[in-house]
Order: sequence, then structure tokens, then C-alpha cells
Amino acid sequence: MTVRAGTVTCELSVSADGYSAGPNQTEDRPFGDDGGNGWGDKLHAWMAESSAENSAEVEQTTAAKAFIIGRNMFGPVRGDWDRQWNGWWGDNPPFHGPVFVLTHHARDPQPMDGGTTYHFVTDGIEAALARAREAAENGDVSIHGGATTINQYLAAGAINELRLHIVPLTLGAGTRLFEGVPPLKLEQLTSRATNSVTHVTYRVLP
Amino acid sequence: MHDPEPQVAAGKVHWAFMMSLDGFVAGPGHSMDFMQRATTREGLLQEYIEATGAILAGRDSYDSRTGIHPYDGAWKGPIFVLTHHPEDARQGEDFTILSCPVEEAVHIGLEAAQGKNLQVHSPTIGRQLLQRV
Repeated sequence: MTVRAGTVTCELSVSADGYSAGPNQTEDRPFGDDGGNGWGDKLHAWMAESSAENSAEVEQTTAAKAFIIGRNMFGPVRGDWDRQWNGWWGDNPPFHGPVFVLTHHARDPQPMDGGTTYHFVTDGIEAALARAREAAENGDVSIHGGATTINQYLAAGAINELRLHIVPLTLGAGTRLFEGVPPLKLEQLTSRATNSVTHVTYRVLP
Repeated sequence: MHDPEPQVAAGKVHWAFMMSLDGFVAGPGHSMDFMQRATTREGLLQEYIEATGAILAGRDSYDSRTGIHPYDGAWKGPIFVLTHHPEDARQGEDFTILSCPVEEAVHIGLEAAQGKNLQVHSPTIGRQLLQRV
């Protein structure tokens, strides 16, 4: 699984029908009606329950040097930052690097333990990518989710590599990968099926 | 590497499709050109051919430019076409036109499959069947 320097990747666990979250997302159930506990337990069981079997893919999820996430992935707070919210991932988030959060509402950078800093970008997806590329130097940038953010970058032709973890359930509704994205030509780089998930990697062709 | 169990004839209803990553089994105008570049696990198609005793298809593919040619002609057997409008369906030698509830069509298809699998070749019929589980 070699990766060229400076690749823009995206990582997503999706249901067999392409959803990364169900409908009715709330603070108590951030993944909504997700076929499980509302916290994505079924969608991410491959990471939590069978991490040994999937260790290479688990490690890869946070191997990038910089990350970009949407505001909805960052948290449930809307509008102005009228409430202190530092993400879902606790004081020591798993990113250990800069995370650029797309938002319409400016906020000072938020350093966390373990090397993660949340930077809030208000001037659009291209600006966020430029800043993430600069921060990553020659390392990879991961468009880390959710699907709505990934779809914007896919539609803009900005993603080089698509890494999906397809889990055996359907959701029928929710936030769908590829929604609003024009047809893409993909080259299959890897595919690996384990007992609870199928990992696929695609290169996005020009 | 975890490989799924080989497909065997077991008198079951088997919904199998080659589809695009975003879940389409045919493009606009029922185009299926995307399949030409696809490859499958070695032996998979032969497993399907041997395990399948009958096929249940939909009207769209029956009426499409390409028509219904399961496994490029490598599979032979009864093919049922389910439609709400049998009156204007052309008659095909190798096809039986059905107009009945999907459950009944499955029953007829499984009978004809004689212990092998009934393969469903229609996304809309497959969806209706999943909803009735």
C-alpha cells in the first residue's frame, strides 16, 4: 500500500448503499438512524471490534499529515461559536496534526493535546485545501468527512484517492457519498475483504 | 483474505448485480458499457451459471436495446419477465411473460429452478422483494 507524497485522499466508512450517516442526526445520535446506537457503532465496528484483522486500514485512517473536516463532522454546534465545542474526540484527538474545519463562522485556532490543532477556515474548500497542503508539506492531506464535505471536494476534482470501507448493512436514507457528484472514472488500486468489511482504494482519474 | 463462500445451488432467491460504486446497475438509456472493463473473481461466473436454475427479470431489460442475455449465452434455462402490461409485451421464444404479484413470480421461478437458485435480474423487483422480507 504505497502512497505518493502529497496525495489528497479521503476516508469513509459507508453502508452497502453508500450512506456514511443515517437521517435524524442529533447531538445525542451524531450518526442519526445508523442501524446501531447512533454513534456509528455498526459503521465502524471494523475499527473497534475487529481492529486486529483490519489493523493496516485502521492505522491508515490517521496517517495523513493534515486533515480537512466539515463543520457537521466537527460537532453539532451551529451558527456562531456560542458554546465551547472542541470536537467529538476528547482532549487528545487521534489526528496528531493540523485539522482544518470548514465553517462560515470564524474562530481562533484551538490547540489540543497530542499535536492536534483545529484551524477554522471560513473562505471555502479551496482555501482550506491550500492551507492543508502547505501544512502537510509533502505529506498526504485527508479529506476526512463527512460525506457532504467529501462530495464537495470530489465535485471540484480535488481528490486523488478514494478509500472506502464498505460495511454489510444498508441505511436507505441519510448522508450519501457521491450525492451531486458528476460521474467519475476510477482505477481500482486495492480491494481487501475481511469478515466485517470490504476495504477498497480507488485512484480518481482525470 | 476473506473470500465469500462459493455460490451453490440451494433453492434460494439470489439477487446478484454488477454495479457502479454509487449503486447504479445501468446508466441512462439502460447503458451497461461500464461492465466491459470489469473483472470478477476467478470462477465466480461459472459458480453462478451452475447454481442458477431460473431467472426472473424485469420489463426494462426485456425491452432494452441489448435485451436479456444472461452470462452472454453461457447459461440456459427458463427466464421469466415480470410486467404490469403483458398485453403489449412482445413474445420471445425463451421467455415467459408473467403479470402477477412479485411473491407469486418468485414462487413460479423457484419451482422452475428445480432446487437450484432463482436469480433476480432486476433492481426494482429486488427492491420490492427486500421490502417484503
